[in-house]
Amino acid sequence: MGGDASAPPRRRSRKKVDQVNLGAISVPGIPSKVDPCWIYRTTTLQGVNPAALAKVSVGEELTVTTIIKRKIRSVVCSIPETGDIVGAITFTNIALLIDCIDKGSQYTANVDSVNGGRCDVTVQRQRS
Amino acid sequence: MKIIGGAYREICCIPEWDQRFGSGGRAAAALSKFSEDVELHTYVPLDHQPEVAIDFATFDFSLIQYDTDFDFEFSYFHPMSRPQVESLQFEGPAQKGVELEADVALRFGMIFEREKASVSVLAEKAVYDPQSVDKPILFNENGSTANSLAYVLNERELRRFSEADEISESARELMKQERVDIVVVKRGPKGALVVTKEGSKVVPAYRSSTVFKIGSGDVFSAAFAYYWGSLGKSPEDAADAASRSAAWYCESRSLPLPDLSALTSLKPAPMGKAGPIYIASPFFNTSQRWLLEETRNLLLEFGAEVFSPLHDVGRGTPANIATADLLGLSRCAAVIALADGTDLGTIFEIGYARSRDIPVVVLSEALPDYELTMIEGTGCEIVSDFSSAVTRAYWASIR
Repeated sequence: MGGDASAPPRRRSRKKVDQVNLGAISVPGIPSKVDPCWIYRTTTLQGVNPAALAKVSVGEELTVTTIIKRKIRSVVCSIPETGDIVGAITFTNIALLIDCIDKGSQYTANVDSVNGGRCDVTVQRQRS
Repeated sequence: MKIIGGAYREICCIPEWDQRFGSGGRAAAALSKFSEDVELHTYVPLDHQPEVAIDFATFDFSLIQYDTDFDFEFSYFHPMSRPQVESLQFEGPAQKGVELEADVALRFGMIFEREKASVSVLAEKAVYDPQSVDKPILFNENGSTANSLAYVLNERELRRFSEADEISESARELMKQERVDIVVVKRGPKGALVVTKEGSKVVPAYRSSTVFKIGSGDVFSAAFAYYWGSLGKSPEDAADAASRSAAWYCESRSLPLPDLSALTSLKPAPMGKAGPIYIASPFFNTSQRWLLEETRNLLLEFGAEVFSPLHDVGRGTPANIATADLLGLSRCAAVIALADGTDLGTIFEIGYARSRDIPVVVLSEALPDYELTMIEGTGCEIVSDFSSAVTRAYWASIR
C-alpha cells in the first residue's frame, strides 16, 4: 500500500478521569470488585522473530513472561519447549499485565492465526 | 535519525487493536532494527511517561519524552474508517518548544501544532509528513529548516497546500511555496507519486493479502526517510522501498520492518483505471445497509466507479429488478460480495459473475467453511476482513 489517504478525523475532548481497569473491561470512574488480573485480550505480536514463528502453529499455547530490555520490563511470548521468543505483547496498559505477573498470575497466549510475518494471539490467565 | 512525532493510543474495533504507537512511535519502531541511533522525540503527559516507556520497551530506539498537558486517543471502527480523536486534558506543565539538530530528521505534524509550542529541527536532510488534512502547516512554519527537504503526504493534505488540478502540478506549487526538493504523494492502493525538480514518477502499491491501514502512511514515511535520508537512495528508489515496507506492514501489522531483501518477492498491485465494481449485498436491516453504504463510500473515495443495485436501480418488481441488476453486473469489471448472512440474491450474483468470468471478492467474516465450497471452488477471492476486501475488490477491477 502507498500509505495513508484518510478523511479528516472527528474530534472531541474530555477531561481525564480516574480509570479503573478491569482487565478486558475498563470502566472510567467505577470502582470494581472484579479481579484486575483477569485479562483476556487479543493482539498482534510485535518484534516477531521469523525463525521462531516458523515453528509455531495455530492453536498452540505460548508462554507469557517478562524480560528486561534497556532497563525496562516488557512482555514476550515464547515457545514452551525451547524458550524461543516469538514476539512481544505491546497492547495498551501492558504495565497492568506486568504487575499481575509479578503478583503471581500466570498467562498463556493462544495462537489464533499465523500469516506471513504476523502472529495473532489471545492472552489469558491460566486457571489456578 | 531523529524522529519527531506523536505517541498516542490507537483503538480499532474490527480487527481488534489497542496499542500505543502514534505516527512518531510507529516510525521509530519501524526503523528500530536498522540503526542504533534512532531517537523518538515526543510530547507525553508527565504521569503517562513511565507507561509509554514500557509500551515501547520492545523496540530498540531511544525515547525522549517532553512534558505536555494533553494526550490523545484515536478510535477507529475499522482501519479505513474516519477516526474519532479524543483529547485528554491533564494537569501539569504546558508543552515548551524544543530545538533539535540532526543529520537526518523525520518530522510528523502534530495536533494543535498551530496553537502550541512544538519541536523544530535544523537538519541536513529532513522528511516532513504534515499529518493533518484539516490545517496542515508548512515545515518551516515552526522554525524548522533543512538543507534538503522532502514532503511525504497524502493527496488530501497536498490539496490543502495547493488546489491545482493535477497532483504533480500541486506538488510543484508546494515546491515553490517552500524550498522543497522532493514531494512524495501517498495514494493508498494506487501507490505513490514522486515529484522532483527533474520530473515525476509513479511508484506502485504492493499487494498484501490483508490491508491493515492504520499507520501504513507512517510506515511509508519512516521507510522513505531511512532509504532516502540515511542510505542516500534516489527519491524514486526510496519511495519504492517505502511502498514495499508499507505493504509488508499492512499484512503483518507488526514492527520493526525487515530488510529490503525480505521484500523483493512482493508483487506490485495493478496500475491503471479501475473498472466499475458491483456491490452484491443484502440491504434489509441496519447492519446490512450500513455495510453496503460503507463499502460504496470507500470505493468511491478510491476513485472507482460503483454499481450498487439499491442505489443505481432502486426497488421494483422482481422481473424488473433482476433484469436491471444483472445488466449492471454484466458491465462491471469486478464484484465485491458481502456474503455474511448468505443472502440468496448475493449468492446468485456471485455465481452469475463467475459464469461470465468476472472476478469476485467475497467478504466472509463468519461463514463456516462448508458454506464457502462453491465460492472457493469457482475462484473467488475469500477475504475475512472488511478493509482488505474493499482494497482487493478495487485491485481486482483494474485490467
